[in-house]
Amino acid sequence: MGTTLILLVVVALGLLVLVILIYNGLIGRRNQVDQAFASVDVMLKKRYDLIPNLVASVEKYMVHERGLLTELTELRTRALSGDLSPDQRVSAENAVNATLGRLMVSVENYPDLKANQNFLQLQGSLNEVEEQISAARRAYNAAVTDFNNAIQMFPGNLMAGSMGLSQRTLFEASAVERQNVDVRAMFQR
Amino acid sequence: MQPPTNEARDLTGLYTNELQPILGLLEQKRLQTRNRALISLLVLVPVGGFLALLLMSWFGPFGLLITVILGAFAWFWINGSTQQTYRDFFKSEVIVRLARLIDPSMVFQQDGGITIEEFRQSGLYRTDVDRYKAEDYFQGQIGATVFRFSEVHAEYKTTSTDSDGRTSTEWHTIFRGLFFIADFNKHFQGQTFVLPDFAESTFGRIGQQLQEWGSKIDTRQGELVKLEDPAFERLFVVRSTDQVEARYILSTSLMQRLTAFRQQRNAPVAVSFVDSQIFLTISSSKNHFEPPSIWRAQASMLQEDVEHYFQDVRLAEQIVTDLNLNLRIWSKT
Repeated sequence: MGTTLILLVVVALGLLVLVILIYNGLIGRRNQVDQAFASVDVMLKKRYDLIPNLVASVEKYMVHERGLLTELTELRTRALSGDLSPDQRVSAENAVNATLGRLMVSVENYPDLKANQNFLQLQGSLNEVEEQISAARRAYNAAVTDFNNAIQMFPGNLMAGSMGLSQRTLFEASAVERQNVDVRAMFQR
Repeated sequence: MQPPTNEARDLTGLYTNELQPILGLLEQKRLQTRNRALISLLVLVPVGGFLALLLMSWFGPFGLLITVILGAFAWFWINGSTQQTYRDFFKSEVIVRLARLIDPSMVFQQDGGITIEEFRQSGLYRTDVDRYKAEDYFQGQIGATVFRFSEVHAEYKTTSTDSDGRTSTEWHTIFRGLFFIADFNKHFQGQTFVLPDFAESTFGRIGQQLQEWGSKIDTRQGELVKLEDPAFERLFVVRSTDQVEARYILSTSLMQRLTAFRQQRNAPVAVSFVDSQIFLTISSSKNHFEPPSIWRAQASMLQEDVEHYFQDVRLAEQIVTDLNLNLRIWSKT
């Protein structure tokens, strides 16, 4: 009788420890996802901080590109306005990406600008921020994959539902971005 | 990528114009050294044999040991300096010229090396070093990248005492091979380590789980970083103090480049990114940058032999181009 009781207590304690471990593991992973998402935001913010400087330093040179620069400034203001839904946010992000890309291409028409030290430095910073954004997105995707695996695989899946945890989506290149790198189409043109 | 044909032509030019007379001299020195060694053997062996018989009749088997020790001393006394001259000549005349072919300002120091502080700074090897040797130090600049590399041999010792109270010391290698340091093309604050992977290449998905548990008890700073490139993940395991920064450094293209580099070298490669520098080590049991053996049957060195050495000297250039370290489009110039 005594031994059965002890055995039961041991099994119950073991189960309790297991549940705590799984719970903490899942919460830890969820927080990692949130943290990774925040770091993407930080990098995007950094890029927005660069835009006014960039506009100020190219304005003098790029007289024919005024429209592009105004568009960029407006997009920045809109993206930073804060009251956007996630979907709107992503499309604003993409618009900024595309406009910046167009701006960098039109720089080719201004040899003076390409020799400007200040501009080159800004271009370097911008490249760096882009690289950081891509790194942050990859970190986010890794964290999400880890989290999704944990809530879909045994034994995490037994608890995920009751804890209100659901799958997160990965960052993916938008359809527009994918089209942008279609090199074959570029050559066929 | 540097066009290899250009360099091959340079090497041929160097070989026919400059190296051939030097290699002739080297061959003379080699024959001198060999003759001296042969003559000393002819003298030492009979004398040693006679001495051994004599000493063994007095001290028993202990006499043989004395003879061997005396013989070794005599051998080094007679041959040591000529062999050293032969090595010095080879390094100062041949290796230096090969190095200048890659970078005219490259500095070569036969006795210099990566210091033990730099070895520790890399954070790649956590075992305490008891004996450290480094030789054949190269230092230079390719494009915007400043680099240095040398041969390194780091060891630790274990002492054990047997039942009779005799202590014996054993030396174990921590790392032996080529140790390369260069200025990295991006700024970073944390520490990121790319280490050879044993668990994942052997056990696959379960290995990744093993890594995760193993990484919790690893005393190194940082945590396991899981990256997207499966070919890269099979060869390496990555730890870093900063998940985002690790991915900033290890861009998708750098991962591919490291994978290709590792496959091409076909030897364990470990990389660390510390203090805005890249530390790269290639394990190897070969003693690099040494002249051909004095007992070699073949006469003078041919162009193929020189090319063989050139491949080793080219290491820095290969790393810089293969890993694209000269790409300076970020804020660091």
